[in-house]
This record gives sequence, C-alpha cells and structure tokens, in this order.
Amino acid sequence: MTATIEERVAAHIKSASGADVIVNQVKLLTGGACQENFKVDVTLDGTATTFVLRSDAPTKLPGSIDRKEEFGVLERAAAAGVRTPKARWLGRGVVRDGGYAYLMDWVTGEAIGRKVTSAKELAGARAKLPGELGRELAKIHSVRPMREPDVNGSARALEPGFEPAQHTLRHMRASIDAIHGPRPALELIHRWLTEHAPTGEDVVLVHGDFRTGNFMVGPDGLVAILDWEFSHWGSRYMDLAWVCMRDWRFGQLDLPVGGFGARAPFYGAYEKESGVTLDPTLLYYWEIVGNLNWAIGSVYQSERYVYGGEDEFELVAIGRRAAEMELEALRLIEKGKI
Amino acid sequence: MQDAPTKETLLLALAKFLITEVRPVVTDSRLSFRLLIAANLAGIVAQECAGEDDQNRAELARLTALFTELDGEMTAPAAATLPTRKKEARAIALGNEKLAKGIASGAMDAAPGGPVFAHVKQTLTEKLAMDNPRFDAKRDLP
Repeated sequence: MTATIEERVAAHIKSASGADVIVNQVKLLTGGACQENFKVDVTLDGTATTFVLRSDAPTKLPGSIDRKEEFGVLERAAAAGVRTPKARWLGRGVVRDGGYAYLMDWVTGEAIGRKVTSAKELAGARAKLPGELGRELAKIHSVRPMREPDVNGSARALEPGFEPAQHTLRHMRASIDAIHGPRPALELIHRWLTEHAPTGEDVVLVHGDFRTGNFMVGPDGLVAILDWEFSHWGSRYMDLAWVCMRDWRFGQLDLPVGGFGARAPFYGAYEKESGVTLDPTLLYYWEIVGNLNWAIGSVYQSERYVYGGEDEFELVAIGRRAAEMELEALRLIEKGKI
Repeated sequence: MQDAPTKETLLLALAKFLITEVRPVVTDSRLSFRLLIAANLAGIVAQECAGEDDQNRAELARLTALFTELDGEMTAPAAATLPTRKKEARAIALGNEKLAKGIASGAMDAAPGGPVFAHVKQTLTEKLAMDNPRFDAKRDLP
C-alpha cells in the first residue's frame, strides 16, 4: 500500500457510495486492542461531513469479533430500532491489508465513565438514563439468531441444547486455564457458577460490553449505544447484570445502574418494552458471572504485558485490580441475592 | 541491608513527586491520568514492601491449616538453601496449586461458611488492603 490513508479512504468511499468524495483529514482517535477508530472529515457531493472509520487492529482480544461481523450486528440492531450510529460502506484493506473497516456516522456527546456519572450538565440525562437504557436493551435483545444470514455465528447458537450459561462457563474455563499460575478465587467463583448454572434461557443478541463508558450521553439523555466488539449470542441477563456491576458504578456505589440510577426503573422499562418478566435469581447469577468475567479480563490484560510482549503500562496496572472483582463476586455469593 | 531511606520511603517520595510536581504542569489529560496510575503503582509497591512479610506468613499459616503436608515444605531438602522469604513464597505457591486443584475438581468443599471460602476471602481482603486501600469490602451494596 503506497497511497496515503486519505487517498485510500477516498477511493473506498467513492467506490462504495458512488458519491463525489474529497477526504480532508483522517486522524487516529483511539487505538484499541482489537480495533482502531479514526475521525474522517470529508466533503460528500459538495457537503462537508464527519465520520468515524472503524478498522480491525493487527491483534484481537479473546471473545471479540472483527469489523465484518460487527457491521452485520449493527445492521441487525439498527433494523430493530436500537439507537446506534449508522454504519455504512464495509470494506476490506482500507486501512490495512486483509483487515475490515467501515464508516459510522459521527455522534457527539459524553462517554467517559466518571463524566457520565458526575458531570453537572448531565444531571437531567442521568435521571432519564435508566429508563432509556432499559428500553434500548430490550430492543437489542429482540434480535434473535438466524440461520440465514448467519450473523456473527448465529447459526451455531440455534443448535439444540445451546445453553448461554454453559457457553459462558466453558469460555471462562478456557480463559482461567490459560492464566499463568494458580488462582484459587477464580476457581471458587467458577465452581459456584457451575453448580448454580441456569438452564432453558432464551438466546438473544447480547451487546457484550453494555456499561457506562460504552454509550454516548448528551444533556437530553442517551445519544447512542457504542462499542459492539464483544457482541455475541447468549443470555439477556449478561447485559442486564453487566451495567450494574460494582466496578462500572465509577465510585457511585449506591447507584447500581451504571453509577447513576436505581435498579427498579431500569428493569421496569426493560420489562415493559420486552414483555419479559425478569427473574431476580438470574439477575443475581449473571452479576456474579460479570464479576468473574471482568476479574479474568483484568488478569488477561496484565498477562498481555508480562507474557504477550505488549509494552503498555496501563495493562500491567490493571492486573492487580482483579482482586476487587473476585472479592465482589464472593460478597454476592455470601449474600445470596443482589 | 541498605541504609535509610528505606525502599518504602523512596517509593512514596516518587509518588509524591509525580503528583505534586509533575502532574500540575501536565496539560494533556491522557498523560495526566497515566501519571495518576504511575503514582498509584508506586504507592502499591510501597504498601507491599511494608506488609508482605506479615501477609505471606498469614496466608501460609492458613494454607497449612488446610493442607497439613505443607508443614514439611519449609524444611524440605529442596528449600534448604533458600532464604526464609523464598521458602515461604515456594510453600504458598504449592499450597495455592493444591487449593486451586481441590476447588476445581470438587474435592474440597468451597461453599460459603466453610474454611476454604473463608481463607480465599481473607486472602483477597489482605491483597486489596495493599492494592486499593479505599476498596470497602465490608460495605453492603444495593
């Protein structure tokens, strides 16, 4: 690839859209572990506009999907009425050879966790968020696996006997086995979850990282649901519990929904939109799953530094935080309810 | 043994320097956040230097109560030439290996209220006292 990134993006948009394109600037915003985001300023048929270009990174995190799968998920979510930036023009090799990339409408707002939970100008938004998030999540979960098109491996999730909890337990088992050195706390939590695993759960589209920090908020409330790279087919309760976990409350421990709201309006809005009556036992179970998942994730981040040759010191700092999620899971197990 | 200042003092001085002298002149918000993490890491290591001997001894005592065979590990020939701190670390690693296996296989009772659960919880509490002293493990949450 000898052309500049501006030239490649211009050629891609032109061939995908047929519009007259001038790319004014392509600027790297964030380089994540599994995707890169660029801000793209363009003039489309004479009109100036801004997009986000999302591209596959050279590496991938376990459990994450590529931009092609993500694009398919976003199309399904948008069709279900989920508030998410419109995704367009999926292509291959736009940013790097072999990697997928697509453009997404630029949305403005605040996504940084501590600002969402404490910025003064978002006080009104925080009052509305639990209800809005409950309704959005119900819409996300209205997307069901299908054989054709096989979005993000959905055909596999339709196989008889597919149990979301078992699927998650197997995934976490493999992750614990890959960790260097014994971790009795992770083993204890995994065993408790194995002994208490529910069966017969619905299989729905799970966002997979539904928490404060991954949705954009403006003064009037929710703007858009972002960061779909961990979406998969599984239990609705995974998303319902994840946003309530202790670590995603950003210090506002008495506000269980994302550090800004009570549980009742969130669950109530979800039940009303979905027509599903939520089971407190499953909300409790999956909040423990969430803590184990994020404890494993924290250990994995530091292992990338220690054994994976990644030279990023925030990764190594996260490793010691695993004990917080481990202890929180133990607290929940001892308490017997959320 | 080194003369004073101790390693804890050096690390806390480093953390204080980063926060009081470097951070105020850093205008980039990402770098400022990373400086906080760096200072926090120095603080964690300082806590660990001060407390690790007691922490390790307590963990080993609890592990030995669960696995009486660990009793012999401190005097085992393989450990004979090691300094006490390394002998303890070796015995703890062995104990945790046994514990992880015992829990995973179902051979040990790991239910709340039992000694295994109590040990794992106590060990995490002691770790967090160093890694994040602000974490309130006793607080009930809604």
